[in-house]
Amino acid sequence: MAKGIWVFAEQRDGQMKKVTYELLSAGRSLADRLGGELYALLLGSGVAGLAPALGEHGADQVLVAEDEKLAEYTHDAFVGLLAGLAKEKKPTAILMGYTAQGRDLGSGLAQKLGTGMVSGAVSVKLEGSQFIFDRPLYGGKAYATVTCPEARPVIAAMRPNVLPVHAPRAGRQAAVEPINVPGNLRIRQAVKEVVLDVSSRPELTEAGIVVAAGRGVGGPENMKSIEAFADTLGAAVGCSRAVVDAGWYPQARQVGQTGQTVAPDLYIACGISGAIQHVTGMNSSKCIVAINKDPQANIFKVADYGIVGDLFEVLPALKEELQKYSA
Amino acid sequence: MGETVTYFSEVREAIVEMGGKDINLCMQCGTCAGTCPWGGLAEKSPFNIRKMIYQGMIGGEGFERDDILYACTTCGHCSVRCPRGVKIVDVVRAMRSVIAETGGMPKSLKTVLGSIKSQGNPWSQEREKRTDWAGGLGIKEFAPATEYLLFVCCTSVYDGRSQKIARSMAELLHKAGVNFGIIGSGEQCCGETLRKMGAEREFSELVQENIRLFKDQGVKKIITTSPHCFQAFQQDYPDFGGNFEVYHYTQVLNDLVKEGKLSFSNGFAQKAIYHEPCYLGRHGKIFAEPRELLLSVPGLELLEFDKNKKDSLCCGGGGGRIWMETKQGQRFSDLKVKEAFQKAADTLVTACPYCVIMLEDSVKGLNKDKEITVKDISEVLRESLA
Repeated sequence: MAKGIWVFAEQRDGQMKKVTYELLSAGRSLADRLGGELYALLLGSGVAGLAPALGEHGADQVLVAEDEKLAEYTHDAFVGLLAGLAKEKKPTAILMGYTAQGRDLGSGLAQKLGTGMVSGAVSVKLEGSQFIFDRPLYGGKAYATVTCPEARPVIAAMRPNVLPVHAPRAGRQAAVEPINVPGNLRIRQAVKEVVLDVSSRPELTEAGIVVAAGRGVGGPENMKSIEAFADTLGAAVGCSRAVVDAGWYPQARQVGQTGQTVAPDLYIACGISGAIQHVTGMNSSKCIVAINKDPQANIFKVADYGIVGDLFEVLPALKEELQKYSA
Repeated sequence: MGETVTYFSEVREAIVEMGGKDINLCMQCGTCAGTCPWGGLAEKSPFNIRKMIYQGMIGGEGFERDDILYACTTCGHCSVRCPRGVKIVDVVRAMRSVIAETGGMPKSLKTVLGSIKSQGNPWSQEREKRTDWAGGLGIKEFAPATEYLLFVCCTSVYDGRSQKIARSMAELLHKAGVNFGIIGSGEQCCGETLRKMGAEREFSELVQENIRLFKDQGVKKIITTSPHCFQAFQQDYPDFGGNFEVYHYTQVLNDLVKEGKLSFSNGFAQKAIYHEPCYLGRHGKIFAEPRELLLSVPGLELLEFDKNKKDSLCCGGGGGRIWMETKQGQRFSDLKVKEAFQKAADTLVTACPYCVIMLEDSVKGLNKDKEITVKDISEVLRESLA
């Protein structure tokens, strides 16, 4: 048992994260070198169905903790459960992804188990019984080779998308062992809501048409009409920094120097004055249409077509015309 | 989260090699951090200049973060007070150079770097459109007999708003009968921002190209519209063999006013408050000329910020910051606009195209655009021409 390599099988909503397979591939080689077994630790609610895939990717055993309390990641539940288990089973190393979950989990485990943690490593190998990791420093400008010489288990969060995934062996089976989740597990965090940034509209940077809103739209309530207009064109919706600052639209939709750079076939700037920081992010668009009530607005200097007028008179008229074409 | 701290004395050596030898003088007293405008903001920042220098000294990890190493606006306020005279801006840019050497730099600054290399300007605008701003003004092309090269900042070349500064300057110089010209599409960015971003190699290449161009054209005297070009030409170019007589436009115009070649009679009552550009004041040591110029406009009342001259608060746009995002609650320009509003100024006047952008952004963001107008001194003067 003392030579076990653990891999934290990270999943979200029943979808296994790719990093888990990367870790299993690396973990398989380590376990073989050590002559030990590879364990996958699968925690969640309704996740047992993921166990076979873990076996096919190299796990010898899958330890499954199924509980509603584990439906969302929380520090207390995951660290508490795994630390207890690690004290009992004494693995040699615990690997996890260098992800939001993995970083939180790893540091928590290291503290609870009184061991060290290697964070953000890109490779792992064995020299004798020592685990040797390479980890980038200064955003990848330098590399440090580090090890955890004495304390065990070695805990390491490995960067996703770096380690190769070995081809799964269909039909390879892992022994599945349930983990008992204590009823009195103390969880101080409560996940109230998981907000996913999903949109049925095309990606801002890939869209053929972008409709962008500026301060001229007047308020958050008017973003709906901008979106509705964009939908008639199958366009993505962008915005200027002023709109983000005002809290009317998310930063992920900001076009400009400090946001996204876009170059669609058609860019429709609605109520955007055309500050140079915005212009830098969109002036490679093939055709720029600007709607603004101020005829002096800078946006007209970069626009191919300019419409001077009130946005909320222009947009409905434009929409009506466009609908005639698409009909 | 607990992550291991690794020490690398090689990093300190690299910083020294990149021009930050003053890092060895620092005694970690913290006067810099106490002076730095990043302290005491509504929204706390992880950037602490004393701590960052310490990380550089021990080669600790973490200083290279976008919101630490690249937070510094290079305003130079800290250097004014440093008891050991550490050239802190040099240390910061050397630390950035260490990171740049290895290909690191915030994403939005990489765009700026790429744009300067390919288009000769930081705003991703076309090289060929460099003289579009001058349309209809009848500005001469620079020839050996031309006395001054009017070097217009890339920002005032391309930004529709900022072009008003360039056009105002040309009109004022014409009015005063100054013999000046522009080189035109062969011109490129002065490179000031490259150096502050840490792109030292690209900076030195650009400077050498510019010096060759200026010498080929027979340039001896340069008037800059931006204090940033002014600082680069005056303080950085001589190290590369570029020795020109460099003036910020406020110096030239102030002399013209004193000589009686420019006068302003079309005064309209304005309560103007002067925002000191860091690169004109602290870096360029030009404090009197902008004020004298403004006071030469009849009817103009000149107000001062509480912190002014060598203690003035930066707009937040220097050191590459103009191309980076600054969170609400961390925008220095918001503080300036609020103070201007409090003092009932109707015009927030400055002498730098970056400051104009930053301040105007804040005026709009704070919904004060009905109460306060941001102007460059050149614009105020042109509007007041007899």
